[in-house]
Amino acid sequence: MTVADDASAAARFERLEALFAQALEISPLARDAFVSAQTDNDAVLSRELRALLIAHERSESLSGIAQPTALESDADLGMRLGAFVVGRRIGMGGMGTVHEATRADAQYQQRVAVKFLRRSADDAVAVGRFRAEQQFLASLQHPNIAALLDGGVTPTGTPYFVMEYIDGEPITTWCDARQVRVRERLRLFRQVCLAVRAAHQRLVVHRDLKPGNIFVTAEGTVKLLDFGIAKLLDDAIIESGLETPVTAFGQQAFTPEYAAPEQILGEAVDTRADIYALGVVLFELMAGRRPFTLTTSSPFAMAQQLREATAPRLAHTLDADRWRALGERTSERARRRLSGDLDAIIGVALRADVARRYASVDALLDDLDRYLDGRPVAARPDGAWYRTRKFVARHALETGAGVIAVASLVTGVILSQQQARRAEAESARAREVTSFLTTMLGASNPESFGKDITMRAVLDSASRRLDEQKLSPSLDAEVRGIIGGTYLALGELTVAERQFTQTLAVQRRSSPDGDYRTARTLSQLSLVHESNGRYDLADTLLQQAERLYARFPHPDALQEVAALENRGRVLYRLGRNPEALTALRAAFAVSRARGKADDPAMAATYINAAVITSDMGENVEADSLAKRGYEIARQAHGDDYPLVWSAQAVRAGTLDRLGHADEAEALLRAVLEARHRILGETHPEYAFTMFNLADRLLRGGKWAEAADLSRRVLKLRGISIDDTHPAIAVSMQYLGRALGHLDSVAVGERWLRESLALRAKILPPGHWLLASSESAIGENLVLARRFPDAEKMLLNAEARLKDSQGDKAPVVRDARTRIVALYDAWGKTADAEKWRGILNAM
Amino acid sequence: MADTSDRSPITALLGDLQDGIPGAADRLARAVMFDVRRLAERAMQREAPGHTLQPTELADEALLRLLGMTQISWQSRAQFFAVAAQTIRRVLVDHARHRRRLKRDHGVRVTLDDAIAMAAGGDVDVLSLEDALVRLDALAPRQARVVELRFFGGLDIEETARVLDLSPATVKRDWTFARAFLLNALSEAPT
Repeated sequence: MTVADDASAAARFERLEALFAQALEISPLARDAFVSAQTDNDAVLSRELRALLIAHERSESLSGIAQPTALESDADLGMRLGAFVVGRRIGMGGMGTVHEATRADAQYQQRVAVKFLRRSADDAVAVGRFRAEQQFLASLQHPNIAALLDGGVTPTGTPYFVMEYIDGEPITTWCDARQVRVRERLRLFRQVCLAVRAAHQRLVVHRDLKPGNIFVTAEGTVKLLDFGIAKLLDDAIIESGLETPVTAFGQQAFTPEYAAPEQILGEAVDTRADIYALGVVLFELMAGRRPFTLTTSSPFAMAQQLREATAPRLAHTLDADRWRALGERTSERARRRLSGDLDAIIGVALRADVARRYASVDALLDDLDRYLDGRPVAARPDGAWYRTRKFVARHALETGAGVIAVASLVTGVILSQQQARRAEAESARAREVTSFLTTMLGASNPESFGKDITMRAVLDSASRRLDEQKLSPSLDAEVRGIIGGTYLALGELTVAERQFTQTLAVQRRSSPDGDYRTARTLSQLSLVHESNGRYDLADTLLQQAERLYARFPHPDALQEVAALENRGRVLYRLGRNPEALTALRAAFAVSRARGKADDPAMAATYINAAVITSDMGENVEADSLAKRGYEIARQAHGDDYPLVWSAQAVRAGTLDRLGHADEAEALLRAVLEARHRILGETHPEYAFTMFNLADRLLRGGKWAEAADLSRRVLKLRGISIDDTHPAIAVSMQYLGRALGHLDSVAVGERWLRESLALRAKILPPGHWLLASSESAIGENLVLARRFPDAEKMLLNAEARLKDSQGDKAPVVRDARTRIVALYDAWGKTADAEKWRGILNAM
Repeated sequence: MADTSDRSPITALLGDLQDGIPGAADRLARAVMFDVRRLAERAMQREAPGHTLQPTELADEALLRLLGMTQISWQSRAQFFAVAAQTIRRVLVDHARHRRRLKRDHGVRVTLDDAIAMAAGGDVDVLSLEDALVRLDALAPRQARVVELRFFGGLDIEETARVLDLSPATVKRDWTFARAFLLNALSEAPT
């Protein structure tokens, strides 16, 4: 190769790189056209660039932030879908490929876009989302939103829909190419806001607003595209019970550069996430660049960065030649045009704290209009917005159009099913309540809710009316109890708590000493505190409930069972296992005495009792309890019911502890497969099974696979498992121990110490898990041959574990096994023999 | 083997490196090379056939062994990993070539960037990756260096930017491009 060849190769490569970077700036839908336009006489360059873009989309889709991208060949070319014939591919979006299509009957020329979702057998989540998108778009008719024309499933089973073909450009490119001036840009942006507002009024959050999804046609009309991840929030809750909302975290497809911090963290998002994205778009539309450059790919670090950053002032961020694009005559004029209240508006839209952002698109529109009219905007520090902020914050739940908050429903390890089941029951009842409340409380005009009435809307309206009206105390308490229970099922803890507290106050007035109604409210209120992690408070309430039920039996025995179950769960979470078991045994006694021993509702109670019994080392009893739970659940719901597999997971644990290691491992692999199938990749239960399997493998000496599974669990940290969830600390411990055995002792120790630090932060002092962590560190110290340190740590941990968990607990067995290993490695034969004796006597 | 290495020279070398003393990088590399190579070899001998290595963990381990719990500055840490990255890359490649000569069928696989690894169907064959990196290096040396630091040294965008004296935005762009380049190259390569 000659020097000249080298130079030209490098130049070519530089051009490839530049085009690649530019292509990433525009919407995936427009990339294909971009590549064609930029490389029209260079087939090699075109091929290379396309290959890189496909590789990029693959890597993005796999990085855990975006959805898997459907990378289909053009196999669907020429296929007929209803009245349309599918043509060439014009783009690839987050959810699938987009093809151009024309009407087959040729009655008139109509160009449309067909969006295919590549469906795989285990991709039920994506198919569900696709359908939601289809429903949503069909119901949403707005001049600034790309219209849905048709939709269905191809003969090979691929869902698709047909939408209006938008011949346009991203709003930013459109404006810059035409040197559109600031005020004109703001008017276009108003159109964007109006379209988003229309969606919000249908309780739909777009969640992926960005210039690449905001097109402007040649005629200057704004069109919002690609509602790939928007869905009907209310339908998701009402129709699918728990299934769909569970996907709300961990499965987001969004663009981090435009995403609000809460969205990046996978928290529940509402309409205010769109407000944030609109803020980024507005900034970019003016400045020609985005307000922040993300410098990390970790969600936590990203969110942290956004929390600490303040959007720079527009006038200070203009590139030297930006004034030309803005249609100004000098840079100075452009700067002057952009100084002032626009910064304040963008600042409020970009608040990292949701409660301090504009509460609705209306509020943002209002300020834009004030700005355009030359009136002072509310976003200014002395403006009305600040005065009303407190009020808005208080009423954020009423003003935000729709909130999916399901995290509270899926928190526990295995016990979470308990809550899920309860929520499911609440949700079924809530449907009846909805119609009841609509007529009872919205009686003046039931139609005013429209046909897409949501439970949230009814509840909010009902609580407002309840506050205004003076109902008889008993009716007021009754209705509030129902409303509170329904809010709880929706995960709206704060509102639920308010309703229960008021119910309690009313009930206390009519019956100062309390009765079974008070007891039920106390039990319901305890669920709020439990979901918030305030276990002590929950326990206090449940004790009161128990005392009341003892004197005033509830007509529905399952209510008493529920209170005892709740107490058992709370005590377990507090690490007080023997007392937890006592509470659950009381629950069984009540159910038996009142003819409810085989009620489907009891399955979860059996499973929970099995978990606790097994933790206490009574595995024969645990196994029979789990089996009972399995049978009841399977009988009532069939094989694809999540609770069935919770029971099997527990059984795997008991089998394991009874010494049937191979059966346990096989059962765990079956549970892992079933949960992946039923619940999906990002469901917490799936992660929990992974770490259960990691645990089994760890004890089987299969270090490498155990380390691998633990890493996979830790990757879900902040995605499907909350940072404070015990599974995180446990997985760190597993990883640390596995690494110790894989000859990475020092790195292993760091993981173990991080695990201990995390636990110390979460758990009350003296919790047995802290001792368990220390015992694991002791094991690592043995591997590092730091024997005296190891001895001190291991003996101390063993003593504390024995005290809190009983002499036969598996953790105590583990701790003693480690002590034997220590003395063996240290060469202290007598001590080793002594502990071997203690171990064998267990 | 008796471990006679004192811990302080590494700290001193890192200081020299930061102060820009000539030859410091080479001397540091030699010191680091020795330890990292020994660690990597041992780890690979103990691994089950077909198992994957986590190169950044090797670097972590090496740093801990060399410096103990000594607190070092953020900059020194980044410098250390920058040096270790080259070493680890070389060790892995040498080892994989050796394996190939012995005709052991499973080769050496590493877990690198998650997206790349997953897209390539699990983890990555060291020699295919090396071929792709060499090609990238010929065409775009800066991007190849970014990859080396991030893959093998485990540096984040910010750290890579500091070590290479670039802006984080540039590193991010280079990284995105290089990742696509490698993924594309790896999906073309026979596995």
